[in-house]
Amino acid sequence: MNAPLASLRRPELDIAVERRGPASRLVGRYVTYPFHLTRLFALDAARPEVATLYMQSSSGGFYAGEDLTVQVRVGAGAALHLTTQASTLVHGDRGRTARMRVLVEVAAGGFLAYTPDPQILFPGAASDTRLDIALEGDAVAFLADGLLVHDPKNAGGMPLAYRSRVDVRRDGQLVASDRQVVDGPDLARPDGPLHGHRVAASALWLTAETDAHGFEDALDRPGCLAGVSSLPNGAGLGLRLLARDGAAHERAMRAAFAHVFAARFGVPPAVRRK
Amino acid sequence: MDASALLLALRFGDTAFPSGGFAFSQGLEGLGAVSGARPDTDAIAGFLTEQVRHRWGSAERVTLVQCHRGDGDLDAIAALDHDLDLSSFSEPLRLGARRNGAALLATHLRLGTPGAAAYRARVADGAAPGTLAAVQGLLWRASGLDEASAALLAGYQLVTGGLTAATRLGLIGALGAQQAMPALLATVAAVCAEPVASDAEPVGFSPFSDIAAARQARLPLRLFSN
Repeated sequence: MNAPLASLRRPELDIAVERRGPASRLVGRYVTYPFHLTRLFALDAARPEVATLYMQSSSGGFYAGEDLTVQVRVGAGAALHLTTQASTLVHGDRGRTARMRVLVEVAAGGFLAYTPDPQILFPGAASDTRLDIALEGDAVAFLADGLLVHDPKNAGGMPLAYRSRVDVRRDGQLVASDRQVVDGPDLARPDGPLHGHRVAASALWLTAETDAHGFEDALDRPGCLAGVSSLPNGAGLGLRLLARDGAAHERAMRAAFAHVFAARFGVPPAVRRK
Repeated sequence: MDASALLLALRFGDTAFPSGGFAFSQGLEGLGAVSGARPDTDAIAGFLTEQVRHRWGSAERVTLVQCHRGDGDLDAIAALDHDLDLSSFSEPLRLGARRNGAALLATHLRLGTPGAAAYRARVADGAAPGTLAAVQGLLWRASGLDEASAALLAGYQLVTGGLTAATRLGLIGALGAQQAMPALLATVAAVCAEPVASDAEPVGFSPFSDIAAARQARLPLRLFSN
C-alpha cells in the first residue's frame, strides 16, 4: 500500500539541480505544456548556493481531466527554491478530477524548498495532488501546499473535492504520510472544517530541527491560526495553517519560509518578487 | 445487533471497563486557546462532530475495521497499525492513540483475550506502534464483537471521551453533555453506515483540531496530555 508512485511517462516538467563550486546549477531541464519555467535566479547574495526557480502555467490554470507530473532532483550539497509566481486556478468540469504528481529526490547535503502558491478551487473543481519525496542522509526539504476556496459569482458555488497526499521517505524508508481528503461542499459550509477561513495550508519541514514552538511563534500573524507538530518517526515538523484570506496566508507562509531559510543558511532570505 | 453483541458492547463501553478510551480530550483543551474564548456546549459539540466526520470516520475507523477483518493476523494488523501511526499528523494525538492502545492491551492481557499478549510483545519490541484503533480492531474481534458493533462502540467512546474531558475541564455540565449526546451519536451512526473498502487508507481533513492539539501541547497547566 505504501509503494512509491511509479512514473509511467515523461513528466511535463523535469528538472535537476546540482552543486557546481559555490553555486547550484540547472543541469537538467525538460519543460512542456502547460508548464513554463523561468531562468535560474541567484537572489541571495550571501548564500550563492541557493538557486531560485519560478514555475508558471501557460494554460491559465489546472484543468479537469489533466494528469500532470513534475519531477525535481536536487543533488548533493545543492540548494533549490522552487516556487510559483501566482496561485493556480483549478477549474471544475462535470466532476472530472485534475491530478498532479510531484516526484522529488534530494541527495545528502541538499536543500529543497517547494512553495507553490495555494490552489484556487473554483466551483466544481476536483483537485488531487500527490507528492512523493525521497531524501538521502541529512537532506532537508520544506514542502508547502494549500487551497483557497473561491466562488467568483458568489452564487453558492462550491468545489467538488480536494485531495492532497505527501509521502516522505528518508533513505528508502517511508517515515510520514500526510493525507488530506475533504469533500468540496464541506469546504464551503460556514460550520465546516475551515471554520470560516478561506485558505487552508500545510507545510512539512523535513529536517532534524525539533523546535516546534519556535517555528509556531514565527507564524503568529493577524488573520491566521497556525499549529506546528512533530511529524512521525522524526521526519521533522509539520505546520497546519488556516488563513482568513490569500493575503494573510501569504504573510504567514513568507514567514514560514524565512524561518526555515534562516535556520538552514544563517541569514534571512532575499525577497522573492511575485 | 443481537443480545450477546449488545451486552458485549455495553460491557466494553462501560466506564467501569478500563478501556483506555475515556477522557481522551482530542485537543479539546486547546480549543479555547485557538478560538480565543471559553468553549460553550455548541463549540464543544461542533469540535467533536468535526473529529468524528473529518478525522475518526475516515482514519481511525478505517484502521479499526480493517484490523477487525484481519481476524488475528498480527502481521497484517501491525502493517495497518504502522500506516495509521505514520499518517497521523498531530504528535499529541498520535502519542495519545499509542498510550490508549497500550492501556487497552494491558487490560485484555489480564483478561486473557487471544492475541493480546502476542501483540503487546510486538508493541514492547517496537515492532508495532499499538494505536488505539488497531488494538480495538484486534481485541474486539477476538472478544467476539462484530465489525459494525466494534466501529459504533469506538465512535461512542470517542464522543463520550470528549464530553467527559469537557466535563472535567468544567466547560460543560453533566446534563449539558447529555444534551449534546444525541446529535453526536447520530453523526457517529451516519459515519459508521459508510462502508469501508478493502483498500481504503486512513485520510482526513482536520486542520482546526490539529492546530488546537498543537496549542494544547503548549498550555502550562493542562489537565490532559492529549
